[in-house]
Amino acid sequence: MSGSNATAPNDSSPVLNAVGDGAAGRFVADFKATSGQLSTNGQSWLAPMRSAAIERFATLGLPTRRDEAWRKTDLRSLARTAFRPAAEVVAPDADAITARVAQLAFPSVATTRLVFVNGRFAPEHSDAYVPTDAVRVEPLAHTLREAPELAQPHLGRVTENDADAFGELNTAFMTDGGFVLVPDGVTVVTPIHLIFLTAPADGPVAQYPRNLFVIGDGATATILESYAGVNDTDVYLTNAYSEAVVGVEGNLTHYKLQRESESAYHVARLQGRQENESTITNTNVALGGRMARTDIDLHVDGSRCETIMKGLYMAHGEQHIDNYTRLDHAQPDCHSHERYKGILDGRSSAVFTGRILVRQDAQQTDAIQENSGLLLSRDAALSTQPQLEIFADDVKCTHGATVGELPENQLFYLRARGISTEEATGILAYGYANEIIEDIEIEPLREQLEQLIRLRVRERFAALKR
Amino acid sequence: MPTATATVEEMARQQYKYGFYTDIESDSAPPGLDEDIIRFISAKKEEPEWMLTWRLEAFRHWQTMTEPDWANVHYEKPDFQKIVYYSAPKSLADGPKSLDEVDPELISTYNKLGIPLEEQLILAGVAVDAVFDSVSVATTFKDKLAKQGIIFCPMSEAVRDHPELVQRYMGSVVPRTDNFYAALNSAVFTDGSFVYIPEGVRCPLELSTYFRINAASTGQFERTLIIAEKGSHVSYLEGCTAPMRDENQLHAAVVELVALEDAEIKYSTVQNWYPGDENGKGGIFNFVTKRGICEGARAKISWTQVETGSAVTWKYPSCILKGDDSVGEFYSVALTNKFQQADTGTKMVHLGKNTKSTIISKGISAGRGQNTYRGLVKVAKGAENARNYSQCDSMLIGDRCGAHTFPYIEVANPTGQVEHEASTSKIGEDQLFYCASRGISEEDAISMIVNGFCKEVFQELPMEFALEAQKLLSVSLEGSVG
Amino acid sequence: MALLDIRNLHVSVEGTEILKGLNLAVDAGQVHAIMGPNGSGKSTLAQVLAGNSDYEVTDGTVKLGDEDLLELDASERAGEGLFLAFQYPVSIPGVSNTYFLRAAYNAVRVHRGQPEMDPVGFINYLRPKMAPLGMTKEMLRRSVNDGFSGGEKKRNEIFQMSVLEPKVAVLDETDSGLDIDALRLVAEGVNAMRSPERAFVVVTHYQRLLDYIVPDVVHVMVDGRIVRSGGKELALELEDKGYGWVEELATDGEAVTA
Repeated sequence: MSGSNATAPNDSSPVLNAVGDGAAGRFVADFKATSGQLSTNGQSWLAPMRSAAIERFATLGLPTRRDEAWRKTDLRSLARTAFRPAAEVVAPDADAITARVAQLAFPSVATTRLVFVNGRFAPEHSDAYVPTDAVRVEPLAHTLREAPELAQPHLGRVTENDADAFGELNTAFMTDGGFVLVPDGVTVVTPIHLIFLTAPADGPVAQYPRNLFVIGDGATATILESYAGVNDTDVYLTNAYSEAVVGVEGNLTHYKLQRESESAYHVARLQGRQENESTITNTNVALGGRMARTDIDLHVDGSRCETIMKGLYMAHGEQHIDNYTRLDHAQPDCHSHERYKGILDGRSSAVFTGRILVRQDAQQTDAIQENSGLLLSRDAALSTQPQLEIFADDVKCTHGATVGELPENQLFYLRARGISTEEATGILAYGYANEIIEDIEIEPLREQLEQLIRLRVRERFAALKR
Repeated sequence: MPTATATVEEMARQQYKYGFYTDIESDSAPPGLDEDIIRFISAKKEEPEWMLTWRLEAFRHWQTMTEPDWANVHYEKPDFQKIVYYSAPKSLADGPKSLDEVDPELISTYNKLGIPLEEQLILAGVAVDAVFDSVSVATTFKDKLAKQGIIFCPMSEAVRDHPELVQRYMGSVVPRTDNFYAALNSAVFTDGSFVYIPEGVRCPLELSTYFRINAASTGQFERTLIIAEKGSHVSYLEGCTAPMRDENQLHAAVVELVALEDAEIKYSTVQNWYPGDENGKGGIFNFVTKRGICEGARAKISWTQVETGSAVTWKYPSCILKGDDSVGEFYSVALTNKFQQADTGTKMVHLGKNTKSTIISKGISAGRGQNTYRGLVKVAKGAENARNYSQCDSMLIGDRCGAHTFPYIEVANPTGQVEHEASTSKIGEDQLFYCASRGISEEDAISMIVNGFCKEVFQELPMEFALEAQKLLSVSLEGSVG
Repeated sequence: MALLDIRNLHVSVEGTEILKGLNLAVDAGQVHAIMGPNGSGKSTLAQVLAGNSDYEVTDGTVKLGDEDLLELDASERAGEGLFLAFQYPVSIPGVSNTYFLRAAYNAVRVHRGQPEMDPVGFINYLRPKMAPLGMTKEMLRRSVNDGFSGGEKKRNEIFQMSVLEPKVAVLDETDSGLDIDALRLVAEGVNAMRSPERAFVVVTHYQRLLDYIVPDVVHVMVDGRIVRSGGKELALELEDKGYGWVEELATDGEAVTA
């Protein structure tokens, strides 16, 4: 975001006035109505940054299927829903929130947990925040108030390209989120768990979490973002935006676990940059949402880097899950391995787009991409689009994509050992997903996913018997 | 750059300089496009009223459309009001009188490609009547085909002589409204081929030699329609390995194939139009819509293409697999050198049960060439047990070029199995060294390795054509390394 | 009464008849070897017994004890005590061998009305069965047959058999691709399981395996039928004279029974 020098919000902005009263217009109107209340945390540069973002959003409008990046995702129902910016939640829901946090947390593993409800820090559900000069794990709003110099150089600037419409919308409305700073040479062993909840409200609300992770030279951290609704059936929009920069020889292990209400909309973006000899391992698990879209955009700006992108998505019912990944190799001698798998049931649909760019200087790049989908139902549909764009001649790039159902010979082999078709399907679906799950270092998360796969398969056979 | 590639291009330019066909007969249309021009074209071709109406409807729709920009190609959009949409077929009498009058470099290229003397004459635009009676050769072919009930004639002739077939099938595979260039073609198409193979007939010839003789007159808005009735079989070959001279910058052809039950159509293309000069100036824009439908059960359509020419190529020969157990195939070699850009691939639309498709695409980028594979494999809900296998390999030669792979996969039936593989590679130093140590020159080694890379596609071409295609690739790559 | 009783079995694959009226009765406690040239239908018999639906039974009956085997699906047959050691064991990436075995073991137990065994109990149950077949912990951790060598796959099949303790075990060309040491290991595994309650059907192309697993009865199968049956010496005779000898008998339409 280069807009920090833009002018303050202005009612006479021609762009904002031209936006009309459609979906984009509603967001703009909300911005005009509430921008005075949006926190600047005492930072004079924040308000102009927000208004520049809403102007760019107004220019872009909400994406439609005419946009190549949204070709297979229909946003019309999102556009029809009038989302109000989510308000601060006061005490009444505390019990429900406590219960939800307990479900999402991993009691058997030590974590540093920050909980955000409706995009606002909820200290009563979070681990006590102990400020130190060294490692910082704290609400971003706190950082902006107390040590803005740590966040300002990175916020909205981790990569050069502008965000899309939803990214701009987040910048305009962003409330709070996690700020993680690991100084040079420091290893943070305890996983950092950021939980984002949306509380029930009178009508559809939108929350705008914003995260910033700064991993120093030779520093190491593990960060998990969990997204969920307090209730499983609430209608709301989560528009999240995370930025991560990993310094020379730094190492970031990042998980995103999306378990939103199956009536909710979820649009999230991870924008990352790697410097020399750094590693990013990203695991993106998408399970919830009526419509869930995740953009992961990693810029490998250093040489001899390693980038691992793994994804698992499971959809059933009427869910639509869209993952759009982009990996930009700009420097030589880097390795990347991307592997996405999906299991679709019911009338669900999913989209996977994996774009790999190998720029002219990125010689000796070794990029592997694999994606596959498993259709359990006759009514499920999957659309995948791997994209390789290669401008360097001395590279090794491969990608493979497969879509289909479970192999008959495997099913027969299991059944010949006495295992029922139902259980065999469960075992094979788990085996299929296991390639993604087995490397998850947070064991309870791995177990949760394993259970969930079984649950989904059981649910499927129960439905068949009805 | 004293290389053969440059020479070929040199020749292409020299042909303009020599101006073999520049002296157009007076009855050409003025530049620009409106309904009057379309009426003029239709009248010149002595078309029936329905054909004119069809063209005008296409034109009206075209006017509502905008030129697509999603392809990964960059060029200055043509000014459609500056194009001449009709000029009468040219007389051969204006050309050189014998091969002695043709630039020896061109002849040497023809010889390199192993093109027979008779065809060299035609390709060079020599007035062949004296030495080679194309009309009588054509007549011989035609008689042989007619005995089996095969119709093979220019499209303009088919419009007059076989209106029931043309009316039934033209636009049935590529609707007039399909895309910008298809709509334009439908409005102004000049000529092309019409092929009809009756039930159970196996066409006794490759419909290629004849076509080469006729090729010069097909014009820039070619329209081809091939209908294969139940159980029939035809192999059709268009284009030529020799550099084709052509003063039309924009080519927007439409090719439609209809294969009924158990019929098989094999369509092979070799495209080597003028690619533009060293600096990316000039060259043909080749915006083609090619599509076939396997209408009946067990029908098969197979596309094979070797694309080495044109400045910009935008082309996706496709198969609609409607009949149960029908089969679609796409084999492609696309080479971009200099400043050439190609965005090409295929669409395989699986509608029927047990339909199968195979895609083998080999992209070679050299110089500052940009090569994009773009393909769609779609398995519709009712397409039980559909199978697709796609393999897209790219090879880069030099570090100023690019290779891009955009496969789209859409599956809406769980019994479908779709597999896509892609890889990018370069010619290894170790491979070149190994060849050198066995006494093989770098250029020969590259040609050998590239031809090996393309082998799976070349073996789909008719035999003698495969040899020409191999040579063509070597010639097109000369000077791209070192 | 025979434990496994096959009568007049006719089987087709994609419209082509492979088994043409096969009869075979195997008593409990016996080992029957089925030999025959390639394409005679030996593997088809094995697959049909296990319940592979690619094969269509057009006529005949197959009984396992009192159960009509053809009425059961593949997993029910395993539950009833039928085991097939596959000629080409299938690999299942992502599913560990231990997990797979426990799922199978418990499925069979549930079918028999027994309680499921917990993971710890199961490991204790497995442990004594591993060493005789040279199964390592590492092989149990790995995905089912994934990246296994040919010999490891076959050993894994016999190991599964020892875990599942079937009533009737069908070994389909278990000797193919095995070196002599592996062959001995596999044969010892089978011999250790011979018991008065259990029957084996050993399908093989070569006599070699029968040096180690000594059969009670040898059948020769040609063109979808058993054309000759005899004692273990029949295998040696076959080795000596080649399959041409029995093929001639088959064309005479003469079924010879010992």
